[in-house]
Order: sequence, then C-alpha cells, then structure tokens
Amino acid sequence: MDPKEIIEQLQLLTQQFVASLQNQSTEQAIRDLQAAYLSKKGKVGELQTSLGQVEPSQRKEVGQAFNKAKQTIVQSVTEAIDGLVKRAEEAYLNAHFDVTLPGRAPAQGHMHPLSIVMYDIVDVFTSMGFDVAQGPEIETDEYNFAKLNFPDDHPARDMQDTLFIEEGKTLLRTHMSPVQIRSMLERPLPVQVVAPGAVFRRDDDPTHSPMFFQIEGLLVDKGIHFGHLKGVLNTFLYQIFGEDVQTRFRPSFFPFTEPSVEVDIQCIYCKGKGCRLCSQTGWIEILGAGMVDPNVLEGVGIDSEMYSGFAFGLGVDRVAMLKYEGITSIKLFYENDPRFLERFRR
Amino acid sequence: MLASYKWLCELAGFAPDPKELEEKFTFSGLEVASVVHRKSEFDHIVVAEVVEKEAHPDSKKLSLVKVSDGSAVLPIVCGASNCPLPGGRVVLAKEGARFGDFVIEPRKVGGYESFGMLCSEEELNLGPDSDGIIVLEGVDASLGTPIAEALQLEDWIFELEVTPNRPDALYHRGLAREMCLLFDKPFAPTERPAAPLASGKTSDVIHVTVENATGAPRYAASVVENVTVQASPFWLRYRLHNLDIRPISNLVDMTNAILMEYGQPLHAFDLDKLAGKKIVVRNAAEGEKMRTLDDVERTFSTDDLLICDGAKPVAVAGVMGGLDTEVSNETRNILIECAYFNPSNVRKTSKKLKLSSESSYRFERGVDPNHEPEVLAAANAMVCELSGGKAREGIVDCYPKPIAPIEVIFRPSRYAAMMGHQISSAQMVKCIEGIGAEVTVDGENYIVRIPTHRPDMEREIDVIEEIARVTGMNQIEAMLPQIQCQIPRRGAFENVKRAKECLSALGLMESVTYSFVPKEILRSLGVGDELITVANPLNAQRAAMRTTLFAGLLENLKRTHSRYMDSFAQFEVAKTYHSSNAELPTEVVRVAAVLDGYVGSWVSESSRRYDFYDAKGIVDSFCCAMTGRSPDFTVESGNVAMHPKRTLAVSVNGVTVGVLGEIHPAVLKELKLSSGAVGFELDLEMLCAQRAVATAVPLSDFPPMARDVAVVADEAQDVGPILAAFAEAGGDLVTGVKLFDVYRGEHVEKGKKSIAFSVQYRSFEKTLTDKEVDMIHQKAVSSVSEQYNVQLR
Ligand SMILES: [Zn+2]
Repeated sequence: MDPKEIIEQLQLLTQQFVASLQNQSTEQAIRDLQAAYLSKKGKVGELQTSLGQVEPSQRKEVGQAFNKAKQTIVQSVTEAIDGLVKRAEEAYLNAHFDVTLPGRAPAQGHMHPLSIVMYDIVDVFTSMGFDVAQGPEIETDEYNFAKLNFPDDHPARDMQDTLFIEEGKTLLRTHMSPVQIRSMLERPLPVQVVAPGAVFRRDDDPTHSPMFFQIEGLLVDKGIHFGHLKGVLNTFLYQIFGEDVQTRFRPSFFPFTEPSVEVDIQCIYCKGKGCRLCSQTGWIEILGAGMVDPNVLEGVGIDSEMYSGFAFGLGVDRVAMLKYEGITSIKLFYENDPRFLERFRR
Repeated sequence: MLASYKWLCELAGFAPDPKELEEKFTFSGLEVASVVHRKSEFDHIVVAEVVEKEAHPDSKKLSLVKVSDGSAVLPIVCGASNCPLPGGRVVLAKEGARFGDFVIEPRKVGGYESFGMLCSEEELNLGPDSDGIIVLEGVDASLGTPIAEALQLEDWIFELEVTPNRPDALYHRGLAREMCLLFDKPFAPTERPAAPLASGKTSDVIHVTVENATGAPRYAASVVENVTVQASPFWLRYRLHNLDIRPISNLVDMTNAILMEYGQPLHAFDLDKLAGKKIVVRNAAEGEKMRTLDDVERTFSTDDLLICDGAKPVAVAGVMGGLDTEVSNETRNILIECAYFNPSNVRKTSKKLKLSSESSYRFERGVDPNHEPEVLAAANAMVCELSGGKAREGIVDCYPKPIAPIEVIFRPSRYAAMMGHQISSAQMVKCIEGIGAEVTVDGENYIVRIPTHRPDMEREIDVIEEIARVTGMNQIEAMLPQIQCQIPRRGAFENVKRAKECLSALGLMESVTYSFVPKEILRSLGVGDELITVANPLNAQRAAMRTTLFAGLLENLKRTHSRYMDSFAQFEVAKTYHSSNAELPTEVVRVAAVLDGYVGSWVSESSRRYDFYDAKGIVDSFCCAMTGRSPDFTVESGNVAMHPKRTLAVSVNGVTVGVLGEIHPAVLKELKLSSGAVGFELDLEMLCAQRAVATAVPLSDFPPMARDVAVVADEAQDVGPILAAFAEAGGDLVTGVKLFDVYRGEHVEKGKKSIAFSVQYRSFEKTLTDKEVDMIHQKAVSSVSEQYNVQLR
C-alpha cells in the first residue's frame, strides 16, 4: 500500500475524530469515540493492520505518523474531557438553586420550659457546691408541717391550702421543705442541698395551678449567718436575671425560718419604673428565705447553738414566667399544647 | 388588714408622710399591699343649701330644686325622695366632679336643665346608705366648702398583709406602736375620759361562772345601762366604712371600733334577754343547738366552748354570738363581754363549724390576755358617749390563773452571730423596748420581758428577728459562705435529666402533666385498682393519683386533637403512685411517651403516620443510650391498656422494665380518639440500674463481602426469627444482617410477602474470596429456607 495514501487517510481520520469530538457531551461518549478509533477494531486500529504491507524502508515514517495521530487523538480526548469537567463544574456553580425551600431537619424534641428553667436554677447552685436532694411527693403531715414548726391548729397552716390523702396523716406535699427535713436527717453535716420538685396546693384559678414546681435550698453549717443568705441568693439572682439586677430583702414570716424574708428583684421589664407586671411597684417578689428556725434544727437532732443555717424557696413556674415573655397564665405549662411547648426549643 | 392613716396618726401622736410610712411598714415586715388616698375623688363636691324646691310637673320621682353653693344658685333636678326643703343642707357634685368614668356636666334631666347632682352616701363611697341623698346636720361649714374639708374626709387607707405571727398588727393601737418604733417616737396614746357611772356595781347584776378555764382563761364583762340605740355619728360610720366594716348601730359600731383599735373582740348582749342574770362559760353538751347571729342553727359537740345564760347558750365562745340575745333597737341595757379564749380551741370550733369571723380570726392569732380591764373601760366610755348610757361600776373578771409575760434571755452576741451584722447594744435595747418589752441587763445576758400582746415571741431567736426587722434587712452586708466540697448524691436526679435529654434528642417533646387524674381513665387503662386518692380533691378530674403516665399523655393527645393538630410526640418523666403497706405509698419514677398522627416530612417526600415501629425504635435507642445495652423484646398480650397483638414487653439485661406498643383501640375510643396511637412506659430507676460499662471490640482490617437475599414467606411468618436464624446459620463470619425490604403485591403471591435482606461477611484473618463466601452463604440460605419454609426469590 502506498504509504502516502495511508498517511493521508490517517490525517483524515484524525480530523474526523477531532470534529466528532465536538459533538460529545459525556465522558463516556468521548471514551466510546476514542475506542471507535483507537481500539484494535477501531478506524485507526484497522488502518494500522495495513502497516505490514508497507515497504519496510517506509515503515518507520508511517509508524511515526500512526504514533502522532494516536497522540493527537489521546491529547484531544484529554482536553475534551477536561473541558467537559470544567463546563460541568461551571454549570454546577452557576445553576439556579432554590435556597428558600425549608430545611430538612431531623426530628427534634426538647424539654419542657419548666424543666429548662429548673435545670438552669439547679445548675447555678450545684456550681456553688450544693447537692440535689429529693423526696416523696406524698408526704406525712409530720414532715410537711409538724417538723417544720407548724403547730397543730395554728393559723400558719392556713397559709397553704392542703390536698390530703388521709387528713391529718398523709398529704400531697405543699412545699419542698419536707425534703430539707429529710436531708438534715439523712445527710452528714454540713448539709448543703437544693431540692427541686412538684408541690401541690388546693388552689385552681387563672393565677394558681394545683400542681406547680418549687426549688428549695438549705445550707446548715457552723457559723452560717444572714449575710451568707444574702450573698448566696444575690449570686443566684445575678446568674438567672443578669448581673445588673437589683435585689431587696423584706422581713416576712414562715414558720420554719426565723428571721424570715421575702426577696424582691427590680422589675426586669420596666427596670423599676413601674408597669403592669409589677403592679406599678417596680419590684417583683421572687424568693422566700430565712434562717432555719432553731426548733426545726433541734427537731432533726442538730444542735442549734453550734450550727445554724439558711433556707430559701422559689417557684420555678414563676421564674419561667418572668424569664419568658408572653406566658399569660400558669395553666399553659400544664396544657402541653405543642404550639406552646415548641417555643422553648433551644 | 385595713388601717386608717388618720386614726394611726391620732393614736401615734404624729403624722409622718404617708409614703414614708408605707415604706417603713413594708420594710419592717408589714407588707403594704395598697394605699388608697381618699381626697381627689371629692374634688368639685361641696356643701350647698336648698333655696327652692318644687315638684316636677310630669314625674313623681323628680323634684326641681335650686341650690346655693355660696357663690351661685344652680338649678338641679333631684331624684331622691328625701330632698330637703329650702334651708336644708346637701352635698352638691358640681361640674367636673367624677364618679368613676362619669363626669358631672350640665345636662337635661326630665326635660329640665340640671347643673349638678345631690349625692348620697353610697355615691360618694362614704357609707352603705343609698336610700336618699345626704342631708347635712350639725356641720359647721360655710356654703361652697369642699366636702372633703367640711366632713374631714381625707385619709389614706392602708391595706396590710399581716403574717400569722403578728396579731399585734391587726389593730390600730398595735400599728401605732409599731409606727412610733419605726419613727423613733415614744408611744403614748391618749386615753378616753372615763364613762359616767350608773349606781351600783356590775357584779350586782351579773354573775359569771367559768367551768372551763383552759378554754376561757379570762372572762371579763361590764354593764352599761339606759342606752339609746341609734345610728353612730358620721365620723365613726365613715371610719368603719373605710375599713370595710358596715356601720349598723352605735352599739355594734362600738364593738367594731374597739376591735379595730385594741384588737379585742367584744360581744354586746342585751342584758335583759339574759336569763337569770348569769353567764356560764362551759363546754357544749353533745348535739346542743343554737342559732347564731347569721341566722343559722348550729349544732355543737363537747369540744365546743359556749357562753350560756341561766337557761341556754347565748354565744359560741370567740366565734359568734347568738341571735336571741343580740342587741336590737329596743335594747336598753347591755353586757359587754371582753374575754381571752384559748386560740387553738377557737380555731377548732371555727374550722368545724366552717364559721370564720373577725372575732375568731383574732382569737386564733392570740389577743392580749392582760388588757381586758383597759379595753372594757374604753368600751364603756365609748358606749356612753355614743348612746347616752351610764356604766355600772367595776367589771366582773374571771381570771383565775393570770398569764404572766414570759422572760427570754437574749445575748447581744448571738444577734451578731446569726445576722452577720454588728449594731450597738443600745440600738438593740431601743428596738426591744419599742415593741413594749422590758429589758434588764444581767452580765452578758439581757433578760427580756415579752409583753403579752406579742404571743409569737417566745425565744431568743424571736428577739433577734425583731431587732433585725426593725433595723432593716437591707442594712446587712451580703457575703458568700465557705462551702465544703462534698461527694454528690444526686444519681437519681441526673438519671431523670439524662432521660429527658435523650428523648428530646430522639425527637420527642417533653410534657408536664398533673399527678392527679380522673379515676375513669386509670380504670380504662387497667390500672384503676387500689388507687391512692385525694381526700379533698378540687374536682373529680383531679381525684386519683396516677398509676400510669399514659393517663396524662393521652389527655394531652386529646387536647391536641381538639385544637386541630394532627401530630403528637410527647414524653414525660415523672412519678406514679402505688399503694403499699408502708407509711407512705410507693412512688416510681417512670418515663413514658405517646406518639400519634403524622411524622414530619420534607417537601415532596411522602409523609406517614407514627406507628408501632417508631415506638420500638425509640425504646431501642433510648435503652441503649441510658444503659449501654440493647433491650430485648417479648410479646406481651395481657395488658389491658395495649393492643393484644402489637405490644412488647421491654427487658434490659434480663430485667423487665416496661412495655411498648399500640395503645388499645378501646382505650382510645373511650377518650373519643381514633386508633393508632403508640407509646411506651418504662420504669426509669429499674432501667438505669442495668447500666453497663461500655467495652470496645477488636476491629477487622479486612474488607467485608455482602450478599443480598430475598425470600417469600407466609404473611403470618415474623421476620425477626428468620434474620436471627440466618445470622446463626452463617456462623462467625456474619457481621451483620440488615433487613431492607418487606414487600407485598405484584409478583408476590397473595397471602405471602417478600423479605429482602443483606448479609455482611467479614473475617478477622484474611480477605474472603467470593468462593468462600458463596459457600457459607448458600449453606445458610438453604438451612433457613428449610427451617422456615420460605422460598428463595
Ligand atoms: Zn415593672
């Protein structure tokens, strides 16, 4: 065969290949095209079988032409594929994409707002070295009242309207104070605990729930005095309501503490100017507290001359209603409407 | 407790700024809930005189009057029947006077111009009288004088929140004493001049016997004769009205005024109605009856203390008088009872009769047992002044065992130790003396004689409290105590927290429900036996202590449906209550969840409803997270609350911890809910007790080989055992069997299902060859096909 003719045909094939390469839009198609030329049975491959018929003296020249053609094809394939990838990358980067569709979130639950607030409060105290104490919700009259210095037939008992299981014997605890008693009986001195939990009163109206949550705390040790009570409670209130919150202490009365105080914070909404939430007073009552009454200490076998302590209590529901704006009724906490609860995802 | 600022100032002898008084009261422990200033409401209301009066031509009710306010004569249309004739003095509300939102302005009434309004007591909130307009008599004020000035109406009414330990703050003298203490003034109220005396002694006309001196430690009485019962003067009626006490007659008003001044409940008997000139204080006979002042017949038992005359009971001691011996308009002679009754006795009777009165309220809190003669003298003087009567000389006074002031040893150093606060002992003494106590210094100790008007003060700590509250708690410096490091003992608390965090992470919302639920719901859940019930529930919905958390969760589900929401996934971690032989019921901390309705899905992905497998999957993940162990499930069919075929008992480490599955359709039907809700309830403490320490396993470095299997089985054939059997048959090289499809429909015979799963083989020693895997796999396939009668697809 005429080497010239072969070389011409080779050039023609190469041109053909490069031309049809332009029409290929996938890598596979390009590879297929490449195979259609370069494989043994491909167009170039078949042509190569004619190499044997070329004069040996001219084979070198024809061989080189084959190599060149193959090189050209392989290189243009590489370029075409690179171009394809590049275009695809560009297209991917430029294609319109609707970012306004909603996110595909994994099912997400969350705690109840009362739990969130309760753990927040407990965390403040545990970080100060208090432990957590717990006790039964159905209590004896003894632990709920008698050991807390509520004498029988004393008007102090009217301060808490009680739900009885068996009148005079067992009841739904009206406060967390029985856990204080249990802690003093069960734990070694010094006793330093907070007791969060559900409490119950015979009250049911828009501002009262028959069940609600309280946290009480107790610190009994040698040398504990009222200044310590103020220090711990101020620290706590700063943590929960912010460092700039103002506090004030008013004398009050609880049977199990003496002296007793109520603690107000400056209204966090009006900053003391007076608004509907604070009944125009600029202050919001937040805590009850006091020095543990010596009768209570002696009642659990603690020497009240040697040891003293302070106790405090606050309503978790109340703190939650102060912390989260817009909770119009305490009842919302116990209805568990998903629309209400999901506001407290965090 | 309502208190009149004006009255307090009269008794205290000085008039501080009302705002300052409010602050001082609040910061010494008498919280002032509100203060009402009575003044501006009387603006534009003046003394006027009727100068002309004629009948309205068309209306019988109306009269046309002209009144003078001293500077002008104004026509007024008056609707009162008691409108006086010319010369009569009235109270005129002129243009601009306000009655709530209503403002007086000239307008036509019954066709005639009216330039104001003649006012009644009620309209001005001066008293309860709404029968007619006020006709002023004996008021020495020129026409046009503002009524607030003419009748001395300005006052500040303090509403005080008095804590149960402060009976001394329930009356004006006590509050005035406090006021003097807080403003550092001596307390020396002026006393009334003594009552004019009738001839003869009190003891000549009345004989008192106290049979139960424990119940009535002191019983004193006086007699006033020839009284004229009439309305009290305006100042007294106004004063009582401001304290929310209805003025009735001079005798009744006197007892109320003394109550509000001395805190001493008095009772006035019509002396002439007392049989046998006798008072006997004794316990009731069982079933004895008397009609009380409120016109209710009361039945007594032997614990109740009665005041009787020679024939019958005439009062319930310290609670309420009897109807028969009440003073009336015809009463001429009265016996005034002034006693000290045992607080707890009064409280018991009052509670039992469900009859609480101003009197019982004060006796319960403790009145002063040593002021009775003083109070009776004041009462006598006041009655005589108001009614023109004369008092008999002396009182009868049964006080066999006088109650002496108690003495408390107070160490000033103890104040500093308890309060962390230093003040001078002189300052302490001033505080103590200010409450009426006497102090004697005995070396390091102060001996404090506590006055009997402070029955709450019994111990050194009470003295410390007084000093602290008078000094002001805000004076005391705040400091942090040194808190010791201790080993925490809050494992159970942390478990609950972890459970909540874990279920939140698994996509559930925490709920908090009431511990008390309706009995019916517990019954339908099959746990209604031996319930703990509330003896005095608020209502039937809150009567039984829950024995399962499903009760509250299903109520939530029902509420959610009723509010048009159809996706519910809530859990609760709380206690259930179970009867026990111990002193207290058993309380178990459980965790439960209920899921129902649509599972949230994304845009075009098809949504589905929560079902059994959601509950099972959550329980599986939850148990693993809480204990580090996978739970085991066994079929449970005996649970009334649960679907008989779609329920599993859950056990961890061989211990059954609870149940999961579909709620029984009958239970849901009873709650008017459609079937399909699923849930679980586990004993959290029991679960957490199974906690295992995690262990690591060796990891193979060789690649895995996977083989898929699809078999056709009867519909009734459970998948679980097939997969388990395959794992077993495949031997040690099987490292996982994963179900990926259960298919019914085209290409699968009816009544059959296709089960497809993928098996992973892996060796710890080498890379497995296809040949090796195929051999093991084929063996396992034929073994399982045979065992379960399934066909390879
Ligand atoms: Zn405010």
